[in-house]
Amino acid sequence: MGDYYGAWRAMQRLHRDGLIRAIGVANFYPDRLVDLIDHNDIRPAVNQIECHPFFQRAADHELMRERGVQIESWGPFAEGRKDLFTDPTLSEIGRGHAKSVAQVVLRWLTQREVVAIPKSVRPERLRENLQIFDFELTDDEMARIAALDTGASLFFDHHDPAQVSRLGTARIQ
Amino acid sequence: MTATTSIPTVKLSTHIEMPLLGFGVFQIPPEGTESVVSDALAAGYRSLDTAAAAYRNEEAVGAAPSRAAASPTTSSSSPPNYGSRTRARSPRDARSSSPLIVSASIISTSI
Repeated sequence: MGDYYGAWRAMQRLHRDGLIRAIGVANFYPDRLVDLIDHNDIRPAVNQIECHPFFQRAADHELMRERGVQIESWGPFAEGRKDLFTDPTLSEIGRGHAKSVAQVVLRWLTQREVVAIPKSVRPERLRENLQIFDFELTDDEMARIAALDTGASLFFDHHDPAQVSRLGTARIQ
Repeated sequence: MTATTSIPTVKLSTHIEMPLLGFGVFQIPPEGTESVVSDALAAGYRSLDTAAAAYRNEEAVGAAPSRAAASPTTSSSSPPNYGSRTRARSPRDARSSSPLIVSASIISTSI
């Protein structure tokens, strides 16, 4: 937030100077994203947003596709909120493929061409998270996961003025 | 170490191929980050998501690829993958073959 137009124009200059290969944004809802695209020379290559089974962003994804902006998920596991790792639907789908809930979620994201960047500090987990390109979710399974969407963030309300002010004025040490 | 997994990519509007699966370092403590990122590179990740100020572990992220580049698990012929919020520290970094991704959080609306 804040002077993101100024920041974007500075990044455009760095891109033109060949110092940056691609520039993107994060947490842009469709209104701000379209505004930024329409009034600048370079459109964001990527928009990294909250995206997980409980907040799927299907309409936002479609708009980004139309505008040539790659969607990237943060919080693919919703940080375990709403008991994601023991969710009955995800667990059952995982059992059918001999995969973990985490692998089902990452497969679901990437099968829809959503870039995922899961975190893990455990070597076995970070390797497990890579093993998602050797199976495919069926249309029925994709539909069952789609039904888990609540349509709301589990983390922030970027449209709440108090939240906007808090995020925008936070100072990093 | 088992063979690394080949990760499919998507093509960005700038024609860069971005891996569909990358490694995120948000909330990893700085003191453990270099080791974890080294593990991730050895496992096959070629895209790292970081942010200079907000995640507070960027220096350690940068150290890991430098170390990994000298090891057989990260061939210098690996294509560079620059991600969404890429900000190279210097022209040399931007043109090197290292899979280093350094990103800026200035455009993000949450930290």
